[in-house]
Amino acid sequence: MRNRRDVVLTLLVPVVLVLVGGNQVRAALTTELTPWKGGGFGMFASPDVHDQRAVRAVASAGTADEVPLDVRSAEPLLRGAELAAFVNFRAAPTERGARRLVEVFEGLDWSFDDGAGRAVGRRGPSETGVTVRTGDRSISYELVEVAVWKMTYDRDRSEIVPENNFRTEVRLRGDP
Amino acid sequence: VSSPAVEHERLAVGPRGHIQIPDAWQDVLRLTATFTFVAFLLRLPPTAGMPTLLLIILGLVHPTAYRSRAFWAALMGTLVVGTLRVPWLSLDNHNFLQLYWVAAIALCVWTRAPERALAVAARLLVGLAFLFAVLWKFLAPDFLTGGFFEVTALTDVRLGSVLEMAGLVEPTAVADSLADVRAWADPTVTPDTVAIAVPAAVRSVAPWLAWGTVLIESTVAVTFLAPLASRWRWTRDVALLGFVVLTYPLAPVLAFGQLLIAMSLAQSELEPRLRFWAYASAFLGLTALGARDSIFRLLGEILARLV
Repeated sequence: MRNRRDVVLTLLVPVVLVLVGGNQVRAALTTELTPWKGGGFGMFASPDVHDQRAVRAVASAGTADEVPLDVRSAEPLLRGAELAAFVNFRAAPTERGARRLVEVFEGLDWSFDDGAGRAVGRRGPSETGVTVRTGDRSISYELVEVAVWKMTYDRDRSEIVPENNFRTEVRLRGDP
Repeated sequence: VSSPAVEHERLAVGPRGHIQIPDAWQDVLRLTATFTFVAFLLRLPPTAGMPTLLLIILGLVHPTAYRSRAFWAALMGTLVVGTLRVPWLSLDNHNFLQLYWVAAIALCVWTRAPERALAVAARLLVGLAFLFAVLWKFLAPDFLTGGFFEVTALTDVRLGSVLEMAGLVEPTAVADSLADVRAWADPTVTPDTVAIAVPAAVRSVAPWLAWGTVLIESTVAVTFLAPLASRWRWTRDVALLGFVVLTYPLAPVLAFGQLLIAMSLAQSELEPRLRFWAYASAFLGLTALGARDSIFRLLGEILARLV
């Protein structure tokens, strides 16, 4: 294989694998990217599995008035770019990803039930923040705290330990 | 394998746009392509839309599609478009490898000796994938201690179901642990630790499993990446097929295993008949493993009707 064109055609894809894989290792070691995702072949190495990560959110309109949001109820309603926002945030949470996810929450219809806001449908674009209905009343929340919890393992105690590896507040309208 | 010089004296001549490869490699490429298509079909990746599916079916039913440069270019194109349409972080590692493999074939068929180019690309892709996998085993804090296998035995349905069948794990243990971990997403409760009852047998064997995994994956990486003398190249086949046989009954990510078999076949220099039977057996065995649950269910239904 002395021909330069043949060498390029043969080695191009393996080089891409190295670049993608190397970038995934760097990202997983320096950010909150799970080792299982991103094309770095980190599967079956760490208990920090992406789909066992828990995404939690709390909406608030001030110091006293806040309501936890059941993110699990939102996931089945998401499609396309919205689902991508959720999946990407869970696997690699960032400030930007958190804002994108909260903007997705803004477009959902939340209903207060059994101590938390549950997503029950879509309500289209909103300018009023994340709105939660309680009976006939609706309250809009402009501040949402989102967090991601991952699995770690304490072998000495045989316990799966939740670790909060990301937490941030997203303000939807106005100055912080 | 006869020498490349001799083989190139009898290149297969096909229609315009078809790859010209030595007769001896026709069967290898056909089988590699067939394995690749079947692996795709049995577990269609999220990157595969309708155009990809139609091309794969065409590749399976058309006798010479696998030799067409246009065919591979089209398949690569539809997969690239499909990859761009799904969330990047929803893709599993074998979805990346599927794309790499089809892209490697699509590019290698434009070289002057496609069979040799594809063998090199296959060797590098498999070797590098395993190199990264081994690297992660050392970077992840819980792997080498065996901790990963302990927690996975009780939270991963795939491994857990095998251990349940072997009687090593209580029938509801995996489901219970999973339910407790998934409760962390319940907004009305604070995430709490989940105690798991790791069976003594699993605990004692976990570190051995961890180091055994490192050993077999390192062996694949080294044999595939090292420039071995021709008399030692059979070690690549043994290492890869050994990995498949030892790993996938426990961690049945069958699409990954089937793809690895297809890729390794493309670089194999075993005697043709041995090569065919070794790889076909491994591929069919893995496929049967995937059908295991369906077969058990079917047999159960038949028995229930008979008794």
